[in-house]
Amino acid sequence: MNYDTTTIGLVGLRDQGLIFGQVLDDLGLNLAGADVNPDVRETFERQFDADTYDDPKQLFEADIDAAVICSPNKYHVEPAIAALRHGYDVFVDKPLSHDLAGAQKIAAVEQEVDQFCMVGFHFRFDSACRILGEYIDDGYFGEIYHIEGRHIRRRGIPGRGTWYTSKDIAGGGAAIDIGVHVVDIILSFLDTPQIEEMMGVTRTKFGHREDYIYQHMHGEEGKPHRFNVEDSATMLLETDTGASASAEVAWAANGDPEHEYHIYGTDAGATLDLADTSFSEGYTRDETGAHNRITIYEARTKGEPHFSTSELEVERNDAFTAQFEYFLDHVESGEQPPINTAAQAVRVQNVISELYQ
Amino acid sequence: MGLERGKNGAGTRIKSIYTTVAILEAIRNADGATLTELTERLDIPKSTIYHHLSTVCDCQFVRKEGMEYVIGHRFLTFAGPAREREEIYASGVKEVDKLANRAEKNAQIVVEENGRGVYIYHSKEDYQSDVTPYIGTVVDLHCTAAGKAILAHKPRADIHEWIEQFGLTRKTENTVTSKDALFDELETIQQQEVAFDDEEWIDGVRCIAAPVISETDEILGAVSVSAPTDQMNDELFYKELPNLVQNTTGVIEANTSYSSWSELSNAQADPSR
Repeated sequence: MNYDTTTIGLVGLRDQGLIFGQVLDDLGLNLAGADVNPDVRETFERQFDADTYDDPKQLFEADIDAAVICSPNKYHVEPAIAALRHGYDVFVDKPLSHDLAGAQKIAAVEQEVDQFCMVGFHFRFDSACRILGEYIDDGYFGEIYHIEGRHIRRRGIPGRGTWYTSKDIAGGGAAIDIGVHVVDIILSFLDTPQIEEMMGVTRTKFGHREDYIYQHMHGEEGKPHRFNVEDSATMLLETDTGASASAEVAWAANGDPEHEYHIYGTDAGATLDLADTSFSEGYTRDETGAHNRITIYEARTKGEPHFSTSELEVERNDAFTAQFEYFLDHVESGEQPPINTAAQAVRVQNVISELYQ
Repeated sequence: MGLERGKNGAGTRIKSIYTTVAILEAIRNADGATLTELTERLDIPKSTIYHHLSTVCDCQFVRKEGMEYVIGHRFLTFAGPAREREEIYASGVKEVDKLANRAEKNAQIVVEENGRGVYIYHSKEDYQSDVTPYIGTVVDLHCTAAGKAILAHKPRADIHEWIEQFGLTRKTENTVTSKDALFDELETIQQQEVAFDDEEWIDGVRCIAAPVISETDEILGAVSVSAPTDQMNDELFYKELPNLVQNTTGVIEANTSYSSWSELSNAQADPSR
């Protein structure tokens, strides 16, 4: 695909729109965008020399080749469906929607049209995550009976007081924002089982406080009283294969920032460390703060019993760039990507929806 | 035809319409009045009043019940579309009902018209009817929470002008009547985006409000929650309810901003694509 004759239309040009815009711009693509706010449109226009519109309808009628949706969660459904019906393949930032019904609506329309919808579970494109996935597919760990996923930020409430912390617009807090990644990765490592039982707890301990101490606000800060979502959650899942999983997510916690998965198998185990300490406190994509580690734990006998703990040296990649390249490859070929599908996103949305009940 | 100059020297006006309006206001204030009562209240000859009444009765803006003239329902026919034009009404009604439900208190939508606040919506559930401002109630901006939320969004110069024109009338012991004190308070309100009325308009009533602001920084109105003081302790008044009100205005703002997106998926795609 010739990137410099390809135009991507972005819907929602604030924080996430600028981040995605930068990745796409760095790849050499042309950009266009739509947003309800004139200042936001202007910033995007200046940064990317792009045309912008106040209505996605006008964007879809312009000369674009694919759509990227990164507006507030509640406002994914309409533009995503409109993009599909206009004949565009569409990339939707996670979560697919603010609620299960919205996610199901998008997935249903995707079934009706030739075009596809891909969802932004970008960690799937992280090289360490992919490599570990290969080990799992090879059966290296034997029977994986439990996975523990942890995504903890020390002070990382995004856009406190904006739509991010409005239950009605975002659909929820930490669980729907970062918990979706954890659930998605867990489901993928367990080879997409059915969830039989789910027990979960949500909490609001930091975001609503006037004395919320932080060093950098992750995204813009909004109205001080506008916070009615959870800032941490704990989930315990039982699947139909007998495997269990636990997920711990927090936008803010008095503890070390983490993003780790502990895989427990009968033949071996692993820890996948995807932490990006730069994310825990501020919103920068600083490569130096990012971890990318796999440790494999085994017990062997050679002469005598011994333990083996191996650190895999994995070359870092930029998961955001990788996911967009993948998206564009499939836009060009016209083939539905097998991963990060709308159906997959609906499964994740289902788990989060259960948690919120 | 009786022509005269309008207020502040503005263009030509029809004098008799002012007379009609004065009669209608008198009927409304009295909650129904006989011809005799109206003649006593107004400095207008009885026969003139009678002719005006007959005309507005023909037009159904007033009707006669026994000896009394009362405000007619025709005003509702006009009021309906008037408030439906307000974006805050279309986007806000459901949210204000939810707010009232959660807070278990009355909630309202107020918009500014000609320098005064007008209550254009009142939540369905009526929690304390004796302190309810009914729909159409007109209030001064400086002594109500919604009014202050609206006032705080204006540029300083406009606030000065507003004070010049309307003054800071005292309604209760707590009403802010000092210009400096008001400006201080408005500055805090502008930062916090929450306003308080602590028995400044009606004795025994406390009210919290937050503004609803569009993407182009235009103030569309305000949402308020009110209750008698004995049902509004400090914890509720200063902490819990501001959170609820601001969460509500956040949703209303989003509904307003994204209102044109709700029909996107129904739009027909260009078949030539």
